[in-house]
Amino acid sequence: MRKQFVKTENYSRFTAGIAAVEQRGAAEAGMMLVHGAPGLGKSHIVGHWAAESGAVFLRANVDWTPKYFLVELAKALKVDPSGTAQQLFGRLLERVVEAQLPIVIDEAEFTLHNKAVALEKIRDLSDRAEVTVVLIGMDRIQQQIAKYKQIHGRIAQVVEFKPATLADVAHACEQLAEVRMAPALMGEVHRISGGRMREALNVIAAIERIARLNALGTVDVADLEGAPLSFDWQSRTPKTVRPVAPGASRAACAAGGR
Amino acid sequence: MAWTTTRILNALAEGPKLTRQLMSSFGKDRESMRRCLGHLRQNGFVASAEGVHQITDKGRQFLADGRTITSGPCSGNAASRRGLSLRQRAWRAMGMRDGFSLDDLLTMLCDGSEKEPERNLSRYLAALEAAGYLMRLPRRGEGGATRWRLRRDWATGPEAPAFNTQTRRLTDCNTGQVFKLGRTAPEAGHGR
Repeated sequence: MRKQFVKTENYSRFTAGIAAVEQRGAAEAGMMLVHGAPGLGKSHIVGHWAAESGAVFLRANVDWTPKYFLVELAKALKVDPSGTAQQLFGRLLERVVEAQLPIVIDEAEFTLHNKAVALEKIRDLSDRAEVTVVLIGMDRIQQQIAKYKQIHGRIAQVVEFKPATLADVAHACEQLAEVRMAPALMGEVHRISGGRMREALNVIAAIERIARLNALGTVDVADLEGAPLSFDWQSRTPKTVRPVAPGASRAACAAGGR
Repeated sequence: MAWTTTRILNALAEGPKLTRQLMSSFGKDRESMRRCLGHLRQNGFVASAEGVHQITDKGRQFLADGRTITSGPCSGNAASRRGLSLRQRAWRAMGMRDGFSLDDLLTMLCDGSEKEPERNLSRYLAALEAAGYLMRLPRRGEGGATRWRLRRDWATGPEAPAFNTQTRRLTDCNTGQVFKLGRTAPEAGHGR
């Protein structure tokens, strides 16, 4: 399987959100919130963008305080982290204004402890340095931030990450798989993976292994009927390829969900 | 070094500064700063006296022209560097992750346009590990893939260390430090 980054609909929505925030006026809010269930590729997609843009990428910890955040940021920007929080903030502000690098905070739930004082400090830095800040969190983070009106008002864009669509999975199959896959089988990859891209990649790898063993150039549902391609850890049962129902067209199968 | 040297020149354009002020501002040790300032003096952009450094008229004109300091020709021994190269993006990604494998970097960074990305990054990771930047992690990844962690005290700055495959020299563009790596350093494969 080819090792490449796959541009999904979540990626498109994220980059559109970033473009909107980056094109804002000086006085406008510069924070962006990315949220969604675990395993939907939030950190992966934002990490891809951060590696290209040179954004500072920090991961919040459970015991983050405003000073802890400032020290972590100072280390990332190679700024002297010594002195009081006030001195450190001053030094960092100069450096961030000068560099104009976006800041990403992964696991942003951890900035909400103690009445969100750490997030308040991040907002302050974003406002004064006029840099983009991307917060990454789980499903409920938007409601949690909404309790803090001053911070919530600074969020210019919210991007919710959703399970990969059938089109995303089909695109991944075409881009990454080194065997040709029939549309109905792509539908099965989507069903088995539940729209989780990481799981879809594992399923594609499993299909490739079977195709290689059986010297298949093109793989269809009929070739893999009943073959376990993944495992459901909750029900402790293998996830197998289902046969195409008699009379059902391939296209209908590919468009079907679970 | 060239990138930092231009920033130092910009800082001196705001007024004279002590060596320690520059060291603090740029997070450099004395040796690296001495090297950067020596380069600026050699070009006539900076004048120094008793630990105080000041930009010259030639330095101001250089900045006014919108030019940047480059390392110049050096007999084909220059560490290879490109703006947003795969290695530069990989260096950034290493700083983001607690642990990573070669596959993690490839799936996060490559879009199919890169030439032999697996071989390229494999060599780069081996060089970084041999120089001491990367620590090999005891737990392997999917399929038994080798995993590494960037030692945080070796995350020397935003510029990716540049590795010249021919001369096997790894140059840290943030500190100016050069590592001469032996020919025996293996490529960082999956270790399967």
